[in-house]
This record gives sequence, C-alpha cells and structure tokens, in this order.
Amino acid sequence: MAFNVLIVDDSASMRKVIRRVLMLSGFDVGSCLEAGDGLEALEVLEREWMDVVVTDINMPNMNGEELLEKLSADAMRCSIPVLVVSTDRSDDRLKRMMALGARGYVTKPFLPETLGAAMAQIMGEPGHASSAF
Amino acid sequence: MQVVPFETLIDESVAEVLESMCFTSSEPTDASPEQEGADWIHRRLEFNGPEKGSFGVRASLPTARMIACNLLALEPEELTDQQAGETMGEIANMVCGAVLCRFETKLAFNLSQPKPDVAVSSENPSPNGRVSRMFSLEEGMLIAWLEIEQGK
Repeated sequence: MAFNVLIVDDSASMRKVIRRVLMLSGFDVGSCLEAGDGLEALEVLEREWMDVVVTDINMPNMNGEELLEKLSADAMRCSIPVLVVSTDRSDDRLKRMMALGARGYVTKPFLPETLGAAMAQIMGEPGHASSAF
Repeated sequence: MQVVPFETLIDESVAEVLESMCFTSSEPTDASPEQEGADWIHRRLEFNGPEKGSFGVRASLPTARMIACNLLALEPEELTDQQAGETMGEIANMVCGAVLCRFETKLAFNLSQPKPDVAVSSENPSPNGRVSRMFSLEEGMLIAWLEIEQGK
C-alpha cells in the first residue's frame, strides 16, 4: 500500500533530503507533497488527504508544535500520524511533542535508515525498513 | 555545570552532522584557512533557552557546494549557489542543535532561522568570547563558531 506523505520544513534542502531518504528506504511512498511551514501544511491538508505528516518544529509563521495542536483539535485530521524530525533532542521538547500527539520523533542529523525505520514503525510497515542502505 | 569544553562539543557535532548527512569526514585543524573572500558563505543563527547566544558556520563557495552536493545527492552542475547557501544554513541549524543537546540534555532551546552573516575581516574582527573551530574537509575548510552571552 502506498502512503501519501506531507513533508513540512522551512528548508527546501531538508525537504529534498527527507523525500529522497523516504524514496530510498523502501517505504512505499505514493504522493509526496511539501510545505514550508505549518500554515502551508494546513492549506495542503484542506485540499488533499495525506496518510502521514513529517514535520520540523522550528519554522516561521506556524511552527511544528502549533501544527500538531491544530491537527489534534481537528476531528477530521486528528488521526493522521505525525512524525517529528527536528534538531531539538531535549527531553522537554520530545515529551511536549509526544504529548501533543506526535507518533514518532527523529532527531537531525539522522541516518537514512533511522528515518525509514521510524516511518515504517508509525505506519505499521515493519518489513519496509531501510533495506536499500 | 560545564564539563566538556565547547571546542570538543563543536568538533563532535560537526563530525556527526557531516558524516551522517553528507557522508563527509572532517578533521579539526589549526592550519590557517585560505584567504576568505567575497565568495565565502556565512550563515548564523541565534538560540535562546537555558543559555542565550549565537552560532555560525562559514566556508568557501566550492566547499559549501561540495557539502550541498553530498547532502542533496546532486551533481555539481545541477546545484545552484542558492541551494549551497540554504544547505549551509541547514548545516548551521543541525550542528548548533547537536552542540546544544550535548551541553544541555533536558531543557529545550529555541533556534532562530539561519541567515547570512557578515564576513569577518580586519575591520570586523571576531568578537571576544567566540569559540571558533576550523575543520579540514575533502575540499577546503569549514569554520564553526559559538558565542554564549555572559550573565544571562
């Protein structure tokens, strides 16, 4: 089954890296869309159904924490799994993001197989992790 | 309580980021960098939290392009200078995050967006209190620096 993925990061370079890693990881990616911040992500989610959101935290306009709050409060979209990919590895931030409903948390820098494995885990696709690396 | 020197934290963090994301090794060096010119790319960001300060990286354009090509898996002819600049911003972001989490594991920091920095020159020398480290890469040098505001 192919999953539609929304990548949310203010860095175009990082969005490209995440997209490439997901493609290489063996994770079955269907449509892969991008957004530069939380507001753009909500606009995409208004018009497209995405199976999983991969989001940074530190972004302009609407950060990843606010995006998670919005999604959690949205009856239509609260079930969409969210994977956080961030430079912040503090205990505080991790607990806060998980409490807001994040399903997984990967810190940057990451090994390609780490991201693939995290995606496979939250999507319940254990056989898909990182065989390409 | 600071146990590990900032120099070590920067060295470990640069190595971690370049090796895992760019498949590039880095060696701390005391050698003088090549003359810094107008084509050097500088990126800096501010952080706030248990400590307040700023962090930055700089490299010559060819070095920045090599790092970006490795990160983005692009051929040199496919890469724009804008992508090289963005990549340096992302490198600053990741290295800064890695340094801060080695320094303070429990409490969160807020990082600003990386932005171009002014070049360091004889008219505009590095401020006092800046910890600066140089790294020899496959192609050229990368410089990373950290400033912690005193008395916060």
